[in-house]
Amino acid sequence: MQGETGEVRRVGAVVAANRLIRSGNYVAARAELEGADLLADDQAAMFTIMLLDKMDEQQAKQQVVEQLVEALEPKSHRSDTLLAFLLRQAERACLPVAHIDKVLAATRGHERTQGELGLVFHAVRQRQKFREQEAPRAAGIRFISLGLNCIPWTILNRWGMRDRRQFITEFNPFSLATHEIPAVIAALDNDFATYTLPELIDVDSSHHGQPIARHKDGSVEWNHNQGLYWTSGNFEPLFAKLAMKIDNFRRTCTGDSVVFIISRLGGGAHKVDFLPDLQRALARHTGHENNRILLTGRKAKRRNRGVEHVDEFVSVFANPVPSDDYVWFDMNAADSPEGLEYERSYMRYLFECLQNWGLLRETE
Amino acid sequence: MSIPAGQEAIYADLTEVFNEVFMRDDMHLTPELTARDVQGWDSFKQIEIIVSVEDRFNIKLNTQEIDGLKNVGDLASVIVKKAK
Repeated sequence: MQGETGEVRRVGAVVAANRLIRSGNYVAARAELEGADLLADDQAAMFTIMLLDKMDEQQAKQQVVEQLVEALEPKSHRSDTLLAFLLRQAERACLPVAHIDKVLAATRGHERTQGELGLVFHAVRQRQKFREQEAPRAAGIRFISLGLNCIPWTILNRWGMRDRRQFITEFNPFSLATHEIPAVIAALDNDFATYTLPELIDVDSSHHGQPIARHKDGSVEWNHNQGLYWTSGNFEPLFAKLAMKIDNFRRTCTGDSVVFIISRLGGGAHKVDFLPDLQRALARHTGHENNRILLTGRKAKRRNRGVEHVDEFVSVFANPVPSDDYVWFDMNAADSPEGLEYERSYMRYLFECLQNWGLLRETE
Repeated sequence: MSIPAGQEAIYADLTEVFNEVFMRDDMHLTPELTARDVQGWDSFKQIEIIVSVEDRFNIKLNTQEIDGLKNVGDLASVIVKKAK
C-alpha cells in the first residue's frame, strides 16, 4: 500500500515536471523532481538529467549520471529506454572507461534488440575500443572549442578526448552555442567586454517556438539555452552562466598542450584569411601568436578531403558528412553505421594533426 | 495499415502529443510508425512521449509495457487496454 502511494506521488512529480519544462519554468520543474528516487524511477532519472542539461548544470548532470551508473548491476532490469539513455549520457558526460564498461555490462542481454538500445550498444562498444586504445595517446591535451557550433564539444566528448574533470573545466562560451568567426575574434580581442552587453542582445524564437537569446546582428546565438528561464530577468541567468564559462576559458586556454578547434558547417574549412586576426586575439589570452589551431569543415569536394597543414601551427581538415540531410546532433544518426564512420573519420584526421604537432604519446 | 476502427479519437490525441513533443505541427501518425521513421525520436523523446501520454490519458505504463512498444500501433493498443 505504501509503495502504491509512493508510485502515485512519483508519477505526479514527473508529469508535473514535464508540464513545467514545457512552459520554461525549469526552477519549479527541478523542485518537483527533488526527492524523487532516481535509482528506482527511470522516468524521474531521465527527466532530471534532461532538465539539468537544459539548465546547463553540467557538473550536477555528470554527478547524477555517475550515481546512476554506479548503481547498475550486470544485466540490469532497468528499462531499455533508460539503459540506452545512460549509455549515451555516460559518454557525453566524459565518464571514465570503467564506468562506461559498467553500463555496457548492464546492457548485455538486451543488445540484440532491433530497437534503439541495440543501435546504441554497438556504437558505444565501437567508441569504447577507441577510448581504451587510441584516446590515451592524446591524454593531457586540452581541446579548447572556439565554436562555431557544438561539434568540437560533443564529438570529442563522445570519443573520450576529454576526461571527467575536463568536461567541467573546459566548458566555455563557445562549446554549446553558434558563433560567426568575427564574433569569436571580437570576444577574444576585447576579453568578452561587449559579449554580454544587454543592448546588443535580443530574443528570437527558435525553430521550436522557444525564446532564444542572440546578438542582434545574428553573430552569436545561444541555441542550447532555450526557454523563458534563460531570457527572464533581462537575461540574468544566461549572463551568470556565461560569466562562469568565460572564466573557464581564461583558465584553460594557456599551456603547451592546448589545441583550439573551430568547426565550420560549410565547405570553407580551407579559407583562412582571418587567421592573423584570430592569432592576435588569442594572444591576448595566451601571450603568443603561435597558437595551435585546427579548422574543420563538413563539406568538401573529393580533392579537398583530408588534412592540410597551413603552417607550423594551423591545420585544416574537411570531413564530409554522410549525406546532405545528415544531422550530426541527432543521436540515432550519430550511432548509425554512417554516423559512426563519419565521426571515426573525424577522429582519424584529428589524430593526424596531433601527430604532426608532436602532441601524441607513443603507444606502448 | 489503417487506424483500427474505434481508435480514431486516440490517434487524434496521440497526434497532439507527438506534435507537442517534437515541437511540430505536421506529424502524421500511423500504426506502423516507428522511431526509425522520425528524426530525433530517441530514448529521451520516447520517455517524453510516454509521460505526456500518461498525462493526457491519465494512465500509468510499467517498464515492461514501455519496453514492449515497437510502434505507434502498440502504444495505441496499450492505451486502449489501460483506459478500459
